[in-house]
Amino acid sequence: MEAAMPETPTPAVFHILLSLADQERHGYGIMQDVLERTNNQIHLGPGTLYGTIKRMLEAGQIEELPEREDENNQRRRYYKITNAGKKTARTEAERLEHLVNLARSKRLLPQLRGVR
Amino acid sequence: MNLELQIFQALLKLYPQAFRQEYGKEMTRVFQESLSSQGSSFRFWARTFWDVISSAGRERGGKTMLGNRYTDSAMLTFHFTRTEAFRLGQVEIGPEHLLLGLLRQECQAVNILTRSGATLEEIRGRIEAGLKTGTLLSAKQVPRIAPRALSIMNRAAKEAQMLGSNRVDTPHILLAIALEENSAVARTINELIPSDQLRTELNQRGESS
Repeated sequence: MEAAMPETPTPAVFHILLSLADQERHGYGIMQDVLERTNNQIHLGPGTLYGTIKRMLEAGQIEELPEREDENNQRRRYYKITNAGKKTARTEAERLEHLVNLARSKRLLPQLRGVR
Repeated sequence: MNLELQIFQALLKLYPQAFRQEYGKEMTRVFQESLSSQGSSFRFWARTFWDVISSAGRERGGKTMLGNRYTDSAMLTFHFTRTEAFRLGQVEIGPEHLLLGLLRQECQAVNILTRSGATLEEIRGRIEAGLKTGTLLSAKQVPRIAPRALSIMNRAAKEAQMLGSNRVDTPHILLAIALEENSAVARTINELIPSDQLRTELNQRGESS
């Protein structure tokens, strides 16, 4: 029997999807973006980065674009998010939102003011 | 070449050849850029070693999307597939390139195909002749995997699973290409060996091993 399809993406997959959600980036660009967004907490090393990129390409969550030059005139392989990738990211974000709401209702987190 | 780079190049050898050929250049560049922005500290090296060891282990596992694994020749096929698309200057990697990728190595799939008496050159010639010369790659492009090729790869994993093999090997890829409907390349394979016969043979092999 095959397992049900929706799987929780790994943190690396989710962070790469977030990086590509608003713009196309090359590998190093993704790594820098994740570092900045997480206050230097999440370092995607070259192996994890390209290993994850490879699997995400296979799963159709991202797409490779024609090679082009970056801002420093270096030739780079760029990636962009696909609709399937957006869907994975959205489903995961909703799952996390649900968990946060749950934590809030258990008073582990302060109640939001101004929210009905 | 500096010492840091030499160490990283040595670490890259831990990855399977196909993965290294595909991403080695990019990984080295990302490594060099991280090195110049973070400096060669103990923490930097600890992170780098951990990254390489954990991810190389995962790549060596070579798991398919269904969780079964590819043999080394199957993984090498994917590398050659891309090389073939490059060589022919084609934008989309399709079933033809997968078959050409299989034909680039001495593997079981090739043994099965040439048993019919056809030579490698003849088979290759037939496939290349059938390739549409449609959109060609520009100098700045890389071939991308067409959905048809992706579904063949998934089909190969499923066939291997159904045939009771825990590894996806080159004959499973061959079978998956042959089973595709309305495909010229599938017809070419079926003329050399009918897909039913191919499946039966793989089934027997699975039982005997």
